[in-house]
Amino acid sequence: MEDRKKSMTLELLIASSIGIVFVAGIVTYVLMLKTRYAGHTAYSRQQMKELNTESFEYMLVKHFYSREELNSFQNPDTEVLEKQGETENDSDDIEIQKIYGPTYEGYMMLVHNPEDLSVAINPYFAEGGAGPSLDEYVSYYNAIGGLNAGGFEDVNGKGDGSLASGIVIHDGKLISGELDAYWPMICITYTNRLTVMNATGQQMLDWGVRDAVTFQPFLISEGQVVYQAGDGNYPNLSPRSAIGQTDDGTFLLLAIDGRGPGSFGATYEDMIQIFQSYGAVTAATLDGGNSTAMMYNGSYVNTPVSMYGSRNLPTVFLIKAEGN
Amino acid sequence: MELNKQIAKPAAVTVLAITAAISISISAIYLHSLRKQYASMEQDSPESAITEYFSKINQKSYDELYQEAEEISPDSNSEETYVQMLQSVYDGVNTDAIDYSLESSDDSSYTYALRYHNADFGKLLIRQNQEGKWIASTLFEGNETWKIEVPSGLTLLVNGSPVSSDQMISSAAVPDNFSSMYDQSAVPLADIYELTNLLDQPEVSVEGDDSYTVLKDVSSNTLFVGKASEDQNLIQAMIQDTETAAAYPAQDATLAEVASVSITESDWYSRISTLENYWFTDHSESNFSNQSVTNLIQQSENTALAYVTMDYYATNGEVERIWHCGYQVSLINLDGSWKIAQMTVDQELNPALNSEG
Repeated sequence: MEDRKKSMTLELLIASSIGIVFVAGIVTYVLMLKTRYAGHTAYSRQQMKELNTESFEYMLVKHFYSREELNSFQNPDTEVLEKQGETENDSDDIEIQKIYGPTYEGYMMLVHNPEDLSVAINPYFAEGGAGPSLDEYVSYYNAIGGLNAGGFEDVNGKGDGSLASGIVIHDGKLISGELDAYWPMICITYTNRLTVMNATGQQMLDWGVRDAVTFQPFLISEGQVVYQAGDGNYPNLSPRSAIGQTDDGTFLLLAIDGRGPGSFGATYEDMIQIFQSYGAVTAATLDGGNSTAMMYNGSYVNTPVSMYGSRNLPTVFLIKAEGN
Repeated sequence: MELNKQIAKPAAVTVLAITAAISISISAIYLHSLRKQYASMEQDSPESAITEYFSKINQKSYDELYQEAEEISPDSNSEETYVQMLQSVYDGVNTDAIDYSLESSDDSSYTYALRYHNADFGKLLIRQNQEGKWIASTLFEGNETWKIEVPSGLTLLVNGSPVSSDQMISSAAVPDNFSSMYDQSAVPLADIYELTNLLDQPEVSVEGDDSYTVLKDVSSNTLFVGKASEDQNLIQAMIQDTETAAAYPAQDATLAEVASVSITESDWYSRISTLENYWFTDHSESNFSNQSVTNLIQQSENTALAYVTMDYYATNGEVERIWHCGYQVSLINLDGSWKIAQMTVDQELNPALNSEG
């Protein structure tokens, strides 16, 4: 018994030797496969691409790679399935971009939902009350933002914005002005298109205008510059308000600061250049100077000229808040 | 042979050990030979550059990658811009999962299309350097065009290399910052270059003269090249002229005073002279503060260009306001005094607005 413990049979020795050689062979084979197919070299990548996925070798080698890596070898030309909607811009339908020029700085508000823009008029004009400031309009009508709009009759020389000049139409109804007088009109139709025209109030109602204010000069109409030097009554360097629209319906509301050390002002030609850079097909000036005021999300975007803030305004363009 | 023959354990163990040693040695020699063979095949392949490239990506050796990129495909993007682009593209990417396929080739180079997660990922250019080694470089094509206006006759360098004359769009032309002067006869001339398909602002310099630096135009992708200056008299003139112009809308200066510090035969003065300043809120107290001149350069001895910032405060006892102002100002000295040839507003130059975030 003790002799057997101190020895092994020849049969066992041969079997053990064969076993060692076999194991060494297996390990060598696996290492060979790893070197050839998973060596992280250009050569091994090429070998992997050419390897039959149903082969025994593939069954072994695939364990050296992640699933993602294996997919990349076998499906290099798979079309990318874009996840629709996840990359969509979920931000507001309103954008505000800073505008720069040689003598001015300003802001362009892009309103991508044109149905959200409408005219609001001084709610106190019937009794001769002063027009609200822009922030009061925004608060009163629960809007998300706004821009001053048309001019005003300076009754008593107080400039209190109580009475709008020309014609004002809101929601298809004449709110202010005479039906049979011609005025330069900036109109929004029921199809939410911005149009500029010289017309009477009656004509605009007949044509189905939703909202309208009076001001001039017009800058761009049907994609063409219609402004001519000498048009309009204020070609000076000045704060500016203006409205435009692109072909896809986006409204462009422009407010340029001026009459101050930080921004001197802009000309009509400056505004035309700005609207052209945005691809506007229609654009018209609104009341500028000390009236220029733009608000969004509870704050003034621009810097009104007066240190007292926005003046009293007869009409404004307001952007409806979501859910309003 | 009797298989039942008993073999002493020491001898048996020795035999087994020798068997194992021989097996392992043969295996090692075989695998070594195999690796050498594959390495040789790899080395001769241009695609070996890709393996090495991704290895450097994983080691984040971006500076080395930029140098190699400049060796085989120099472009006008600055090193900082190129490295930032590499980081933005490759940080967090598993390079083992990047698949590549040959897209095009010519006598001296190969272009590979890269795909990652089954989506287009970019392109790699592979070319041999001067030593004959295959080098890879990620191709970036930006969509920015930059103009560079350098005093006429000087050699412009981008990333240390001379810009090709093919990229010069005008020679001995009036620099843009003096182009609104009606009489340009005394304006120093510049050679204007245009660099396209850039990712960001290029790194430029002048050959043989470190005193030149650049100022970026506030309203366009234009770089003005001039000699850096710290001339205190010039700085003072910049501040005083700018204050006079800025004070005019606030009724703290007259148009005549603005005219005295401006080239009146210019678009700048034509504009500012139409501004009616009586609209400014009446105030009893006002002042300028925090005046600063930065990036002052001289395109010639009689011209100067800089950013000027200052704050303006006004109050009437009832209301008050501070304006944080910023301007890009071009001065020219035609008659012994420095005058404004052009002034462009940019409030964001003012550090007070930057710090308010």
